[in-house]
Amino acid sequence: MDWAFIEEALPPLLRGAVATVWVSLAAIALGFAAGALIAAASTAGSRGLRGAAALYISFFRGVPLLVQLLLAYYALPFAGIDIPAIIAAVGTLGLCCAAYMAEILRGGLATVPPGAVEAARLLGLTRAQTFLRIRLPIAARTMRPAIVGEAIMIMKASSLISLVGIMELTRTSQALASSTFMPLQSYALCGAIYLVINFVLMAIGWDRKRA
Amino acid sequence: MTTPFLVAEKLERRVGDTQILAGIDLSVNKGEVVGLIGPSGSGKSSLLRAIAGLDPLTGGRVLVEGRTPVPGDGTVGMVFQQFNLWPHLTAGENVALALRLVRKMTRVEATERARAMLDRVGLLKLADRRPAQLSGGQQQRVAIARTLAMEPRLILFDEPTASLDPELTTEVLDVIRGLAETGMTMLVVSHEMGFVASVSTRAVFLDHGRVLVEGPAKAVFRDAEEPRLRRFLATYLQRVAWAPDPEPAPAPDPGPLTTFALLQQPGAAEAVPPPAGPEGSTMSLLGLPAASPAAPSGFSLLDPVPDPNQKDPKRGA
Ligand SMILES: Nc1ncnc2c1ncn2[C@@H]1O[C@H](COP(=O)(O)OP(=O)(O)O)[C@@H](O)[C@H]1O
Ligand SMILES: [Mg+2]
Repeated sequence: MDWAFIEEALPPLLRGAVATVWVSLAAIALGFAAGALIAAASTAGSRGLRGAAALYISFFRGVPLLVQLLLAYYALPFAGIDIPAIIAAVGTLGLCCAAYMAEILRGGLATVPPGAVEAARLLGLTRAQTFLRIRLPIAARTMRPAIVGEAIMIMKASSLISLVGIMELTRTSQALASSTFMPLQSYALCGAIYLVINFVLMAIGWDRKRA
Repeated sequence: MTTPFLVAEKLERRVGDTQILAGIDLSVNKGEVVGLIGPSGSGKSSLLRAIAGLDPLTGGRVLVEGRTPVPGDGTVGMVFQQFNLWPHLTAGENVALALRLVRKMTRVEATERARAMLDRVGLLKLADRRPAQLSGGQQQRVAIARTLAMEPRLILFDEPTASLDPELTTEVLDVIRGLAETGMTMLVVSHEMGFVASVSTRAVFLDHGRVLVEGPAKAVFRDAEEPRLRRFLATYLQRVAWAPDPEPAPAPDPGPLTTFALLQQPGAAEAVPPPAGPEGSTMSLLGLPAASPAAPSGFSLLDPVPDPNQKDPKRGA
């Protein structure tokens, strides 16, 4: 790999990487928020809510992400919903992430001591306040490694949205490979950039106390 | 006729085949401190939880000032054996959170009031520590401050010192004693018999979900003849004091002022006659011969208890 190639390839690849990072962060944020709602539903008193949460989780975990993306790509316009492809892609990625986040959160919430919740109840906190201010933060302490793992999965899974035409890192390297006739170098550089991004995530998730 | 502050009528709680509360009647006047004692599994926690409205009843009702308390309505505060502090928040934030979210105080107001409450339990300096950085006794005092901050009408203590090392119980019992002196209405479940005897206006002995003995602390601890209660007290004393031994006890050690210390106060050893039988001996260890109204000189479980840590004048103010 020579410097001339790197100099030519790096600027477009970095632009693609920025797109990948934004798309993934948006999907992770959506996944966490929606996952928290689904986790709340799956531990709710109502049978209907619990059933809906179980259905959601099994659909998004049971159908390949690529199939979900293609469904969104073709089904939404068919249903008369006209939204930009990028929104559909981020939405699908986020909703899929939510199913995994919900499972992580459900496990984490189960470790919250019931006494902490009971104290909140007696002091007059509402259910929503107790969830956001007590249960979620206490659970977050045990869930951090799993959440970082899920964030890394999403960062990598976002390469699939290249197939519905989003110009992110993988798609940019494909374009580069065909325009330069240097596929090996293009994909090697692309892989290295994914690795760097995920190293940053791993560093964020690194728990000094556990190491 | 004035209705009592707290009325519990025919409280029943049954889970499956287990009768946890089997028809408990209890009434408590404003400012009273009621000590609840009883063997493990007798329903003490269940009774407190029923009064707080935490567990559903299968019969009877609870009225505090004429209304059935609902958790979170501000009527009943509860202090738990396991403290139940929120581990992700500092001591100050533990006290301030409900003030902000429930009382709708501003952050500044809530912080100020939290500091005042922590000061009252002697922990102002530790307001910025997380629970994990506090001793058990300190954690329990934060939990008490958190409860006090919301100004409940009634406070329930469920074995507040049972998970503390013996040397940490005194600081917590002192705070509770200080509260009793302010006229707070309280129900206290505790195995610290000396504390219960000295702080309670009334004692209640529970067994198998029923009230077996109830009356002024003196009567319950000294005069009651109910065999289960006598056996319960005897077992307690054997565990907390010493095994029956005709030799004089070793020199007393000015330790924390628990029942243990009461039993070891100077003169205690001389006051203890050789045991006559399992129950007689432990009753006389208490210095409370069941039949005789005159306790031996030297010490008594029922004597007013001097406060060994009188250095904090704000406590209980
Ligand atoms: N949710 C429950 N389901 C079934 N049994 C229970 C439940 N809670 C408490 N018990 C039983 O009720 C009895 C009284 O318990 P508890 O009130 O905790 O007693 P104490 O506090 O006096 O030790 C015990 O026998 C206990 O096993
Ligand atoms: Mg109990």
